[in-house]
Amino acid sequence: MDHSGKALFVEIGRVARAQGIKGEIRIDSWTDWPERFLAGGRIFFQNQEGEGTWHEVVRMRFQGRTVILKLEGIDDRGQAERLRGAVLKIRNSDRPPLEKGRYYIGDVVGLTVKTEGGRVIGKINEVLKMPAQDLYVVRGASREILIPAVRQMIKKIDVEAGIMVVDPVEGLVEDHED
Amino acid sequence: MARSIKKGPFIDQKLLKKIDALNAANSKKVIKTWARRSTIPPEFVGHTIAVYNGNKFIPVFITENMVGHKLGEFAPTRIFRGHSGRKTADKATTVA
Repeated sequence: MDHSGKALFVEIGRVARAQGIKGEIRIDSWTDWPERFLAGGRIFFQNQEGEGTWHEVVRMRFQGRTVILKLEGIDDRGQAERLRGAVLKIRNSDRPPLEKGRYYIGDVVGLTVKTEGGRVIGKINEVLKMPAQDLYVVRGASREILIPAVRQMIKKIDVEAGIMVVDPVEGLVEDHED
Repeated sequence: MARSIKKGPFIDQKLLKKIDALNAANSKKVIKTWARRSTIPPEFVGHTIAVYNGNKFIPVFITENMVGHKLGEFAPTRIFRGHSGRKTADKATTVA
């Protein structure tokens, strides 16, 4: 955590198992950007005991949708197998900023949701991927409120300040209040 | 077999009546509906309809490209949340 309480690292996947006998590993990817695993990049591997080491990626390839990595210094199956279950992390600051209107879910979860009038509705608990649009699940004082991620309702997202300003249509918030 | 063209699309009349009233008053309000089978006509565009998915009402903001589809298509009855919240940290959400 940094001084503002934000996580310094973000998790991008987990080592599923070793692949072959030359030290390659299969990755269970948790990211929308597989380029995070590109050769030359450095990734922090944290094992289940909480200990971690940095590894440089020598080679990355796909087998179907599975990412397979070859790391520097991991040259046989035994070494690769010792990484099984490790969580892959990168520095939060290494991630490029997204284009306007797109946000990392990890940044959005936890934001305080307010109306334009300053009334606090709750905190974002989860982001659901729906066929129409994403839905922000807001944990209010007593209940859960679903807010569609559309410009007509989401007026401002300020990740640094930790707030989201919304202009909910009538019946979206009020209906859920006791 | 596809629906006969002669009949036209099925649109829930109770819902259409409510939307027409909102359009006439030029106002916006969430309308709850169970009519998942209703086709979305152009009159619905710009409104937010809370579609029941068997468990709760899913608010759906209707856009132009949803016209002709059924309301139920946008309120899935099964939601896969993944195995843990941390797996979504490096994924993106878009304010459309």
